Amino acid sequence: MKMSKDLMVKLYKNMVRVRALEEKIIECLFAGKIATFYHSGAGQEAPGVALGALLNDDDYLYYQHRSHGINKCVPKGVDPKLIIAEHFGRATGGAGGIAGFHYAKPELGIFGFAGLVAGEITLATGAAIACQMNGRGQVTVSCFGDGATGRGTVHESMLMASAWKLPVIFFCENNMMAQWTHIKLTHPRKEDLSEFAHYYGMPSATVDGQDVIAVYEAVKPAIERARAGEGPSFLEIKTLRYAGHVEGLPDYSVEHQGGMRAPEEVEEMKKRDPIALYREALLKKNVVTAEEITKMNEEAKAEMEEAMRFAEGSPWPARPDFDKLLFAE
Amino acid sequence: MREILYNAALNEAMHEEMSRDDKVYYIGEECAEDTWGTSTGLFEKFGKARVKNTAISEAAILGSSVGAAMAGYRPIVNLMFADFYVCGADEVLNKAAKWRFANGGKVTIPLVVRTPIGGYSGLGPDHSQCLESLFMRTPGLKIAIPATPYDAKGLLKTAIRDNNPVIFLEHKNLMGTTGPVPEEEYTVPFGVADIKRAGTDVTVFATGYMVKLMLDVSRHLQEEKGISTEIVDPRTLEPLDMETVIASVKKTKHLVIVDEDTKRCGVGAEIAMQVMENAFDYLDAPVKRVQAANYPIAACSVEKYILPQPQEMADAVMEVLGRSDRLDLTGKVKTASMV
Repeated sequence: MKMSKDLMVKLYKNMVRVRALEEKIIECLFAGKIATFYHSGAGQEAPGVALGALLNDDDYLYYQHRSHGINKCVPKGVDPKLIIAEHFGRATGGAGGIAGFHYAKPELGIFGFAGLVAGEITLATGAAIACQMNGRGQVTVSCFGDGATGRGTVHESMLMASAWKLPVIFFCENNMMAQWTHIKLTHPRKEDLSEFAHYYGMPSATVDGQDVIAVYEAVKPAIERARAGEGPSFLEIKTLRYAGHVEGLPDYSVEHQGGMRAPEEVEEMKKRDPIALYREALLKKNVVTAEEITKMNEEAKAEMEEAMRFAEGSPWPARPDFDKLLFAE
Repeated sequence: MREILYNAALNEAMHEEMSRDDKVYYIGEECAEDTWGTSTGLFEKFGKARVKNTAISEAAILGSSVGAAMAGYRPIVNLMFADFYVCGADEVLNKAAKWRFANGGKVTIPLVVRTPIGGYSGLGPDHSQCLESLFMRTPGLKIAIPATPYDAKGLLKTAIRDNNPVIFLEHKNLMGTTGPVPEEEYTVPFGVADIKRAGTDVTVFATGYMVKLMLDVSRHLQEEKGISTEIVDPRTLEPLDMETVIASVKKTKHLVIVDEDTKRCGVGAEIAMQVMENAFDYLDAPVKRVQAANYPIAACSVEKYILPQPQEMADAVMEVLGRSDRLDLTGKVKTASMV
């Protein structure tokens, strides 16, 4: 697939921005500046970054809890300040400091995520109904992890989307871990999760999620198909999560369940780091120079440092008018 | 004024509001031809794009409707029985009710969930519940519960135009009742109680089908015992017009709450407590509740031992007034139950 230099550079920039924001949030969490929690998505930067490059502002994107959606929302255009300020509980956050780690940006088709795994999927299906009824070629991307496929909402939604040819992409990031439980303990069949799509009669693909270009190339036809009114697709993005389920707790998956994720396994994963792999590819093809890479890395860190300062300098919310939050006029 | 059926009144509201606003659509299991006759002509008029018959997927029906509402549509969900709500409870409790609040007021969720409630049809534990107390204890949901064809149409039109999630509870045994409904356009506002019967001796708080039964009971109380009941029907439980309830209690000094949902932690407990907090000094006697006993709703003939009965309503009124005599309603006021 032919890609412009600008696009290739943008993909790199967004991956390092996502990781820099995540590292900044974790740093603030351990410094006691963040009251809620954080679910690291380190190692899973590529899928969301590829998605973000393919969506328009008026396309809908429902993200899941992993990395609190920063790997998808930052590439779709959400300002990191809004995300980090919400984590700081400040009035300038994406939900005015009310949600802590959920945030919405309706102008960009982003409506937050659910506190219960697989909760967003039904909402995304509804956004796809709206896209279809609008008739303007909008699409919805419904993101979830392998763990979510244990819930009925995924299957009810796929059935509905398939029956009505809704313009939705079921975007399943399979990192093989549902919280601390390995997929082989819960999904007895050994096939790819994209097998789920066969019954629902939708095209599917299993993609290497550590390769941002491979994800981009898989998502593009699925989005085109949805825009053309041809119906939903299912993409299984095989990816890797380095951390445990939530920061601050040990990676139980290493300790328990017969050592299903040995420390050396996690170290092995890091050899397929999506940012390192892509950086090598860009340098090898002479798309960018080593100096440009260093510059982009530093810019990303500086941007997130500034975002953190913005959050720290933002006021706590005044007591909200709860009645107005509860009900619209 | 012409008289029409309760289900026809609902049907008229659907036709009128779907014609008025093309963002309104109807979705549910068998909604194109619903069991209660409220969808007549909708599919023919609006087509499958706006009358969406679904698989048996309550979570997807309710959740997708929340998602479409946030994306600018105004879905009306048909939930075939209120009991089925629990299959999609996460969509209602955690999404419809909370999403606006939790996202700092950035989204609106104009959504109506229409669902038939209630017993007295012998349908047993999974097809007879009311569940209004479950909805009422959930901040973020509005709840309408019409007792007459007039209220059914006017409240449904208001519900569809409201920019918030509305749980719309339609009693199965009211579907075939008739009442006056104007031909011209009207709506019934939320949060405004209606005095279904004016009286002086005792206030009776009643909703839905209980209003109908209580009207019948009240006639006998008046004719045979000279007792004048005032029936206050709040029509919506959120917003709740306690002002009208309190004003009536201050006048009559007595309160009986009649509600079909389960008694424990039910609507009656909430209403009685609010009266305690706001009008205790006006009460001449403790408040009495007539509600479903704390058991699952049984089927066939056994349901009568669990659901509120007209005799219990009459007894409660007599007791709250301190009367030692009894009004025997045997054979006089019938519920819809077959046996």
